[in-house]
Amino acid sequence: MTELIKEIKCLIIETLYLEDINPDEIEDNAPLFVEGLELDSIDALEIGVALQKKYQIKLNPKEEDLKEHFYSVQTIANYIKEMLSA
Amino acid sequence: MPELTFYMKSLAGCGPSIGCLDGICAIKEGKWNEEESIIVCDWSPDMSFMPPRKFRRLSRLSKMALYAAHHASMGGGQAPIGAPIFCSRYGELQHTVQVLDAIISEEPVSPMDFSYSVYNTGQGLFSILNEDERPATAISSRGSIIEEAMVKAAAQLFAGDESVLIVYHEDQLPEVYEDLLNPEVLPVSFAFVVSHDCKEALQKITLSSKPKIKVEAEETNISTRISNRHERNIFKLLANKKSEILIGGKRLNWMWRCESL
Repeated sequence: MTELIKEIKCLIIETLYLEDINPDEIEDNAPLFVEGLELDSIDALEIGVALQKKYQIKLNPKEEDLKEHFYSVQTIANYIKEMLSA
Repeated sequence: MPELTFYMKSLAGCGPSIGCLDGICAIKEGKWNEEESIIVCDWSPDMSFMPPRKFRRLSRLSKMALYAAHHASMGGGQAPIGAPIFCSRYGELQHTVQVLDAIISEEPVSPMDFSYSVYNTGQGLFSILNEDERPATAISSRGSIIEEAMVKAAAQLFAGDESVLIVYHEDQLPEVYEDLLNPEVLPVSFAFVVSHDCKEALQKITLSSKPKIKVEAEETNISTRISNRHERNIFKLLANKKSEILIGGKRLNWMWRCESL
């Protein structure tokens, strides 16, 4: 597990109070919303706020692909890398 | 206002000083902390009746409200539970303060804190938990809060509801207020079902009010004004630890009487 992937999993667990889950139990490519962890829209907003704070990035809620970037831990990691290298 | 009569079908409650009391038997056996004092602790009610993911975001206040509401409505006998009435004077103040702290610090506001700081959080969550789409009520009042809920319940029963669930919930005020107001707001939640049907009822409750002949000057004792001592006394009355209490509001005096059946 890369460091960034691990960080994102820990951030999700901590931010969303998922006390019954370990980072190892979250699959990198599994869907986070509706299926998989069954997170909802408030969780999505909460994750967005936490990512902005941790990585000092600015997310544009009007961005069309944003939903796809939040599909799984892996897609979030890819998006963060892209934002940080920009 | 004419004297209102209700039959109480169930009662449940919880709080750091009383523990989790899921029904009348537990309440009768419960050890009440008569030496009440401001309690600062990490106590939280037993939420095993809900899937863990459902209550992960909840404040302790919401957890207490849902615990009491769930156990009181499960013990409501055969009568269907009418649209619930949730009442709290201070509501989700903890979440509200967290939102304000974020704004003052120019930090992003947590969407979770914002969503769960609204006044009808407890009532909304209860409706979602039970997939109940009926209209429900959330009441806030400076004083006489449970009396206001009882008047609303009387109206609902008169309009045709077979029974009504009343849920009182209050948590300790956030620390920022404690320094200013020296409050005596103790965390407690209790819920009870009332009906006009006396069948299988636990208690007969009568509630009456009389206008104060002279409106008294505003109490200067802040602790008394903001305390929830009256509400806690009502819980003791419903739990059959008192048979009547007289509560003086600002403009009305309320008389509660309880008779075991």
